[in-house]
Amino acid sequence: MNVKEALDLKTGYEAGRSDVIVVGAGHAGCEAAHAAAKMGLKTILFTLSLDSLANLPCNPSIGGTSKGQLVREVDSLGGIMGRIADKCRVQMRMLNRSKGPAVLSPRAQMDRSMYSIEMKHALENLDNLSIKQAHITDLLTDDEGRACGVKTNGDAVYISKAVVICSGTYMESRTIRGEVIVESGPDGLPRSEGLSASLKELGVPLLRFKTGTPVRVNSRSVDFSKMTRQDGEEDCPPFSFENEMNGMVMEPSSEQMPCYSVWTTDETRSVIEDNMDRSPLYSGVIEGIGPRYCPSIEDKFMRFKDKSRHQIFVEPMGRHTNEMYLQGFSTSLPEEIQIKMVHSLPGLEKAEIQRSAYAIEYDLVDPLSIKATLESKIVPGLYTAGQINGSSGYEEAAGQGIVAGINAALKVSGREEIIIDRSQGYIGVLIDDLVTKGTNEPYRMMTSRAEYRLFLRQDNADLRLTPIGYKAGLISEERYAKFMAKKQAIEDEKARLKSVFIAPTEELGRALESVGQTIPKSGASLAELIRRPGVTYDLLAPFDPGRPELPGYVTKACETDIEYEGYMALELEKIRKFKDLERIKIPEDTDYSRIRGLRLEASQKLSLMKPSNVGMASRISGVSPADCEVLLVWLEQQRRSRA
Amino acid sequence: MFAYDSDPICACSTPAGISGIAVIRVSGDGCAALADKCCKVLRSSDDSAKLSDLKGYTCAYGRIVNPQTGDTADEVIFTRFVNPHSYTGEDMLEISCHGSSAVKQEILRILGMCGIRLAYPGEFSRRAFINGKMSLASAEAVMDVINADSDRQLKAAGSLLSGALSDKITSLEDELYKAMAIIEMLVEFDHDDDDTEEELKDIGKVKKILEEQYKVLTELVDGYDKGRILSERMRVALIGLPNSGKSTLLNTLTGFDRAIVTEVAGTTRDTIEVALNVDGIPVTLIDTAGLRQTEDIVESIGIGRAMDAGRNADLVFYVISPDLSIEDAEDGIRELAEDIGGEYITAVFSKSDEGDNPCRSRIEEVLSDYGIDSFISVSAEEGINIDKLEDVIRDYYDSLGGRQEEGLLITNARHYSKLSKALSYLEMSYQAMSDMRGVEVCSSTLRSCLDEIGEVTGKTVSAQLADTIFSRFCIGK
Repeated sequence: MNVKEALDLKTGYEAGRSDVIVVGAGHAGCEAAHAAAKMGLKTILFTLSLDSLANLPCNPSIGGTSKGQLVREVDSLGGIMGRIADKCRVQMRMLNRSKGPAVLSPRAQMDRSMYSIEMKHALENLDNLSIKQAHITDLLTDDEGRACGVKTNGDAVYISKAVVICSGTYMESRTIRGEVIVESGPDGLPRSEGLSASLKELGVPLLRFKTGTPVRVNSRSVDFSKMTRQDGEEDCPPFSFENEMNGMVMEPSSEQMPCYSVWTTDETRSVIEDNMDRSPLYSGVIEGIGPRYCPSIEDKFMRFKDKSRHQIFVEPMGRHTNEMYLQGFSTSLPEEIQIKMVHSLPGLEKAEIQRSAYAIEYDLVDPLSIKATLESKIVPGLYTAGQINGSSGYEEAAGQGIVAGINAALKVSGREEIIIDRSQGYIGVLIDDLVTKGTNEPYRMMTSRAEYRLFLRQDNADLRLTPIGYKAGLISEERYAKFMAKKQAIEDEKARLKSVFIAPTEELGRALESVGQTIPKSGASLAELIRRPGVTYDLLAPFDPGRPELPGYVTKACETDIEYEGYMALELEKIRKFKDLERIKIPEDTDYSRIRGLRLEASQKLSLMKPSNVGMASRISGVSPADCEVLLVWLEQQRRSRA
Repeated sequence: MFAYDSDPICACSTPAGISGIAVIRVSGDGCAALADKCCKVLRSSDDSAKLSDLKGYTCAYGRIVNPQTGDTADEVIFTRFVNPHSYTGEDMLEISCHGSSAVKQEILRILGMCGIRLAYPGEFSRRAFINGKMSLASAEAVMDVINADSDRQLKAAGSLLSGALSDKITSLEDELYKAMAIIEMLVEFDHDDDDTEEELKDIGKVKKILEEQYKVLTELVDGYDKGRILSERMRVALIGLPNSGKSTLLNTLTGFDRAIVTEVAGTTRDTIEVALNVDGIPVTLIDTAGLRQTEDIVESIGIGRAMDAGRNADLVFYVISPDLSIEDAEDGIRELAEDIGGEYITAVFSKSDEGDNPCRSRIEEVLSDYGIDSFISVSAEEGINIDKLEDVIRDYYDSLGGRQEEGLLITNARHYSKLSKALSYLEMSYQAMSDMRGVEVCSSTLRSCLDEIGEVTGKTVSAQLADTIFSRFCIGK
């Protein structure tokens, strides 16, 4: 809707002005609003319910494989998710300890209510930010078609220079339990109405996806003695690098809350099989496309017939509630069947269900219509982040949210926007995948999606991204100084390890034998020894009297860098080549139909996608290497004719 | 993946097919130093001993030598161009070599061993343009050429990678994706502490797949020499003094009167090539001029060609008539034996119906000094022992590469270079697994391996991997 038209409505009035408006206060919206406000821009954050800010409507945990990396990346840029998660964790684990440092991933169970409360309070205390409860129904544009504000269902008009929409699963959503379909957002919250129609009217292409969530049970009705208990770990770093540098440690295991696991039984299977005709997925009621990686339990049984049972995790929802979350047990079967299914699980025979499971369908924007800056290609000044872009997961949402917030703020300030590329972070991989390849299901981050995984580690996220956050204005001078000191300490210690040689004494031989290594024939540098499989920095302590006192995160980084130096060199060479193409920019107004020698398919795809550089162009399906060669020649031709 | 970079590249610049000579171009700064590994300078205008010492715009005569085996692939002329004074504006080399496609492919393969990759379609022109070596006006012509070239190359590659070979590479690829998916599942969905047994089982599975596929890929890569013959035909040259019976032998082997057979010595003044099949092995049989000192210019050219034919052949039949002296027998083969090695030469005592050469045992003794240890006595006239010659051809063919069935051989230099790179990554991956490094390292090198294979099959790792994981495993959040 045009802004003048909105103000001309009988009940229309100008309710406020700001630099940036953020619609939706989930994990994407909170990061976006936090970033824009921190960067000094007057920001308004709208939410449908002030009591559900940064809600965790599905699993009560943050982090996990690849997601833990994302959280640390958001923190490295100056985001807020890691700090709030560090405050609200009730259990913490480091996943993949046996699989190597590149895939180590922190994961924490959250106190769900506390998370929402802490986030709300932190944002309320932020300068430049106001948080308002309102139902936004329209995106407003100016006469040039640029986003310039929003309108509520009460016709209040808010004017801004940029709008970030983070609508999650709320746009025109409906929840489904068997035959019972309700027009509602998740957790019984109101859904967002009108907004997706308003986007459609502006020419933004929409898609419809589906996702789901399992039941919650009261822990008093659960017999945990029939389950496998899983306790938290103590030696886990916090998510936030700032907290880590300030020496924050995890609470002892005994003070953390345990999780439990059980396996489905034959009865579970037969209950499901007997009632498949009542599944809306199979009867065709659900139109939205669901995620393959997070299938409902009935989907698991139907698709993987060779597996007779599936593992279910029982996780606490917080310290002040008895609610337990049944991870892996999402379903859209009718409520009465859900009860039978839950009661078929060991220890849950008498479980009292507090919230039932449901599937939810929602509108989203086709991510192919979005730039790598997360600005819309169709409506300038409009940014989108999170599930509205086709992703799934809190961490994926936060990763996009901070980028959208930073870029909206940079654009409003007339500064150059940032793009995090595939070699800089999982955030870059996530956004690049979405905007160059699109997705036909909710996109979940996986470490295997990153081609430079040895380099994109959770422990070096700050080295990769904090300089970008600092430049944008999100990192305090104090934190940056600490960061630079850490970086220097790692470099110094690596240099020292390479220059200190130790003699092949008997003691050294014994130490090496203990990890299955033989003694070197002559003296070897500490670095050479660390490079051997099984040899750690700590193992060599007795032979390294000149060792300086250093924090664990410094020595660990040195150890990892040295051990993987050879493999990293291969990866860095690939990154160098990748960057060469990424650097060659393509003007936004390029008319591909006029470039001779491009195949028709390539020309059409490129016109549609408008890649910002040749690297992105090369990743679009339907664009061949030869087309890229043509593009390079054409770009050079343009450059020379201008010169 | 699209490989835009400034790495040294090579390609044959003369049209495909057989020609008298061909030109292979190499471009990329520092390419001469890389080429030094396989380009041996024998004579040069400024007495440089190495290509990298050669001045720009000068030539050298020399050899292309396989750095792994030490075998000579061809005798060539090198021309060096120094940045920025070249077609592309980078350091360049032009190698003028013999025009058979076997020679061209072999030289490209050897350059690949030295770190010079095959060029993508239009890459030379694009570099020339970007480096300002072509006028603005030529840009459109360059753009036109790029996709036309690419289509041609695709068609050529498509016809070479079809049927059984394609199936084999696809199944290799599938298995490796399976291994990678298992690794990725281990990483993505960390088992509980009590499930380590399950994990060890999975790692065992991965190791087994890697080991098996390593064998498969090794066989494929080793089979390249054999595959090349299937696509190129195996070349067998008949060499001998005048009137030793070469042409009669050729006619008998091919079954019709292709060569003119007369009793006047020196009848075959040029080389004659005839195609035949020996048990399904495609062979080109080359009849050559008799080797002798001659005043006749035409005949002496023919003799020069005979020596070339011998050098470029896979096998040589050295034909010895019953009246040949020991000295002449030695003189006739000395040069060739030193050039190509005696193991590729079979001594054929011809016209056995006219009686044995009286010096046969002495001749065999002399020839064995040159490494020749295969001797057969034949009569083309009466058809005696002709089948033994066919056995020699088949034995040689069988000795090449793995023992695959027809159609399972790589015949294309591009495929060869990609798959041999894939092989080295696969080896690293297996090594990382055996060293008990994190599975991430195994996965990272396996990804590089699949990237290389993908350049042959056209699959990209990221899309393929997600599909494999989702279709094979049931996974939760």
